[in-house]
Amino acid sequence: MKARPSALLMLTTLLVAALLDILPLTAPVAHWRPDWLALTVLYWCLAAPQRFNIGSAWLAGLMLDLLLGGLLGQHALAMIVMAYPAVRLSAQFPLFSVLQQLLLVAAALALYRGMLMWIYGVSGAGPLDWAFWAPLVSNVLLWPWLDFGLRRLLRRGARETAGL
Amino acid sequence: MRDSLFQRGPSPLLRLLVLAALSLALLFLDRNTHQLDTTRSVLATLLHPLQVAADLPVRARAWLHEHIAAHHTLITRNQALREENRLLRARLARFAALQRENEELRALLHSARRLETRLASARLLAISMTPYRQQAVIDKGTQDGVEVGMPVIDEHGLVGQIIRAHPYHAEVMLISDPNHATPVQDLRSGVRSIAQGTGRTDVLNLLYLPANTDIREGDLLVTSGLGGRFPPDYPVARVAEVSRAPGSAFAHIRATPLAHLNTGRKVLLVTARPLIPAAPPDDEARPAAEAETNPP
Repeated sequence: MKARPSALLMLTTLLVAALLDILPLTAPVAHWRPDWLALTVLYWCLAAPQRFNIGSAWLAGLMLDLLLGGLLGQHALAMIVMAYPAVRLSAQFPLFSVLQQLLLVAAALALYRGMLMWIYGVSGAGPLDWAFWAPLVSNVLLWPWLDFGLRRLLRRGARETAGL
Repeated sequence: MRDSLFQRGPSPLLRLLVLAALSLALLFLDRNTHQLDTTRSVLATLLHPLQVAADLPVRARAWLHEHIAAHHTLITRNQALREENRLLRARLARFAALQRENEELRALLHSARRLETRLASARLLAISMTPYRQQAVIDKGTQDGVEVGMPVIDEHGLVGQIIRAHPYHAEVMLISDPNHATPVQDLRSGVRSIAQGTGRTDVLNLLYLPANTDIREGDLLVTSGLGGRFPPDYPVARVAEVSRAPGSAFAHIRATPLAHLNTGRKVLLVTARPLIPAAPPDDEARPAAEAETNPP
């Protein structure tokens, strides 16, 4: 059973995630910063594919491009490449075990990072080292908490609309 | 089982393909043309409040630090600043006389190409930008007279240049960005070179210098003014390491930027215009071989 999230809830979570993506961090910690916005996009693609589809993922990626000041379209492209398998698998996803879910999340974000790495490489950014893949670890560690938190928000939203 | 039971509109695959093509088109246009600049400015301005919000914690800490400082600390600091101000003023008084003398001599030599520079203060927002790039956001935009290409300095040296100017904020490419190259000159020997960023805030590489070039560790590098983007004689970096590999025709020289390139600090924007407009035409023909930047 899936609750339908309101547009306001989705927009708010996306803006908060974007804010966390640009919050200043000191150099060693910044390497481990999870991809907040990508995780949030992934969550909504899995939880509400009827309301949050590849188009929304693309817009979220474009927002990140504008905020980070990179080339327009790089995060947008990476987001949709990640969102497509998520949308296709969204019906089966709740049936998987927790471990399988985590593996799929890791794979989707590896796709996202891989796409970004390719674009950085093509557009001539600085040297990419092992630290480029460090956020994958924090992403996987963060996912269960994000899943838990967003699901509670979703349920509360559903209850409020039902109570009206 | 397909998830298309309640699906409306085009299939996910079609959406993916169309949007991927659109993204690639955007990437291409943004990298190679200026057609997206206006759209980008509008959208970036709409999203700027988010950047301001991300900068708030650092700003609040600075504010608290200033307002909760003890009375005697403020007095001591005030005295120190006054003392420094007096010293700087005294030095500046001599500087004004020297500048006039310099202008007169240059006028005699018919080599009038000095620039009048004006400074405006701005602040680098403490937010993180694209990783593996060296960029920053300042809190002044075209409404305050900021233009694309304007040099940005701090009290220690050259910081970078404006690459995108929006109405209320602007984006700065730092000299340490891998796509940034600064025309520099060794203050001691006069050797000219190009200092390219490496993506690390503490290292610049000097390009295209022969192995027997006269550059030593500790030399000060200043902007050469070639290319016309940066006014000459602003400090850029200090040479940190000179290595000459026996087989190589080029010297491998690394320098450390003098400006503090971390964010959350005050910087200055430089406007430079010719002091004496009517210069002899042959003096205008400056060598423009070195380009400052590749397009970002």
